[in-house]
Amino acid sequence: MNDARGWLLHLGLLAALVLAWFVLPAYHTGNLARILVLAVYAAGFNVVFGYTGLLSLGHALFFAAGLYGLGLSIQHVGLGVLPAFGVALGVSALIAAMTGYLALRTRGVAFMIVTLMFAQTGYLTVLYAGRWTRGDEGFVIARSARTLFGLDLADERIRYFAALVLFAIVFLSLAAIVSSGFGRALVAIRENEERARLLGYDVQRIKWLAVILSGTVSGAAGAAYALLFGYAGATFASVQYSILPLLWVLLGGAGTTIGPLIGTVFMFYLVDFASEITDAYLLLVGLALICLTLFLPRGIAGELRRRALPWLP
Amino acid sequence: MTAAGRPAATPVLETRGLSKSFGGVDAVIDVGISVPEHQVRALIGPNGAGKSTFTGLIVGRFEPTRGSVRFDGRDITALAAHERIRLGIAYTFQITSVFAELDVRENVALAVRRAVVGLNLGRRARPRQVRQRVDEVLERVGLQARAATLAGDLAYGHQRLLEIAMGLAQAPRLFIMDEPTQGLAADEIERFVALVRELSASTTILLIEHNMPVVMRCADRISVLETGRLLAEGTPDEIRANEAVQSAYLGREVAGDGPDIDPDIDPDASPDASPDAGPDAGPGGMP
Repeated sequence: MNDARGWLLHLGLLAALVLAWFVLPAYHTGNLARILVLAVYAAGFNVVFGYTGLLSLGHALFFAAGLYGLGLSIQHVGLGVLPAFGVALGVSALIAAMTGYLALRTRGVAFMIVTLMFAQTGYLTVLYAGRWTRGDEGFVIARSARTLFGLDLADERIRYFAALVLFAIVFLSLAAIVSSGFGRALVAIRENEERARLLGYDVQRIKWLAVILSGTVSGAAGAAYALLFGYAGATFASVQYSILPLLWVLLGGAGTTIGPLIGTVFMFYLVDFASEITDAYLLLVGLALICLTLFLPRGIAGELRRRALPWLP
Repeated sequence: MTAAGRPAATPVLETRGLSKSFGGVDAVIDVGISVPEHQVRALIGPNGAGKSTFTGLIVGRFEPTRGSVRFDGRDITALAAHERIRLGIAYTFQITSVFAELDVRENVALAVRRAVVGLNLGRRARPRQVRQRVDEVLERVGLQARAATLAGDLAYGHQRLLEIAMGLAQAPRLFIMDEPTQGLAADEIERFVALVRELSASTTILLIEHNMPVVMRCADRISVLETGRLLAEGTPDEIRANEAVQSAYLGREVAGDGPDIDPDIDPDASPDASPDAGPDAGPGGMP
């Protein structure tokens, strides 16, 4: 970021999240730990969708790659938390590199369908390998295996701050990346691919790097989810988990650094609130989403940037 | 300006037998041109003559059906577009193509950063260095006051200037401009002509242009395309006198050196070029 206000906003937001632990009741901090991990997923998705302008419908593949990369290597290989996390990152980066390389030969609707199909293949693979993954039912990762530097990651407080540390690393790194020359090149490709190409940008390679970065961050989120909440199941590889980050990012503001978190918080509490009122909570959620897309087409942070804070990274 | 036709060791740009057909329709047929360093070469011809396809073949937007493109003596026919650009070719689009949602400064900065960083994505362009270069370029085309405007909000003529700025920012060895003066006001055209002359000291220019006074004043040599073929080539005076060109392209009135040879094939450029360019753009007004 080239703007001091940008850094202030980012550090201020992280400070507020630290403070939140001490101020908010346990119910909300519990939610927030989950939200922070999911916001990392949304932030990963945002790299490809928000900055590069590629609509992937298959990010559940990367999330699940991280989730199972960590889960299976703890459960069946007996790795420690750190090496398992390393495996998760490696596997998701590798899968992103391979599927990205192939999917990027297409564009537009074809790209959506190809990524969706890759993710479905991943989902079916999880079911097929049910002997290890236990399919839909999933498996629980024992609390005893979820310790890092002697800290019990299942403990509420430690879990919250572990989630926050991961979020902070991803949040600040991505903020730096998107304001770097590479990040600006992503935006250039999103805005006008042919012009970017004829300025000498290797569009294909840059897109590929974006998919790998995005897939790896999504994988980190999946791994953290398995680690902190001790469960891995096939639902996380399903199409629903490819659509969710899209909703979060759209609501929060595609192509903004704070949008993914805002969108995830908003959506989480929207569902939470609506399900208190009625069993047909999806009806309310749907209504709210329609209103938002009608009145805030750029998402919450996107509208903020357009109307009041043009420096928002 | 360099004297027309001065021999140079290796031409900056050379095409040999360059041809392109789109689904059986021959857009460009066996075109061979050779442009020496520091020359301003104009490429003219009626609409549909294949000018834009030809430049597209040079920068790699299309793959040729036959023939080759050489840049600085090196065969670049097999290179992808971005690789050719990186060798030192800048290209402005015929139909304005800027980053509409980004501001003018960022548009130019994207060009500068790529030119500075080159092939190495990991290398960082220093922000101050980029900013300085952007200011320099914007000053040169006269857009410095609009640096913070979104490119999409610029007037059409200013978008054309922005395109030129993005090309300049790359400090190219070869600068290909596809109808750069289309939609420019008379004073902007004057500024453009001055800029091209100034640039020709340091770079080689291939100019596709419909505005005949601009062509006559800028070009060292002119190549004329018609229905995909190279019809004629020569100095502005030779082209003016060439009968084949007269009948094929310039049509009726060629004798005068005034702006009335502007052919009526470009409705966009005519309002600016015809009435305004007349009194103050003729050769008499030149220093």
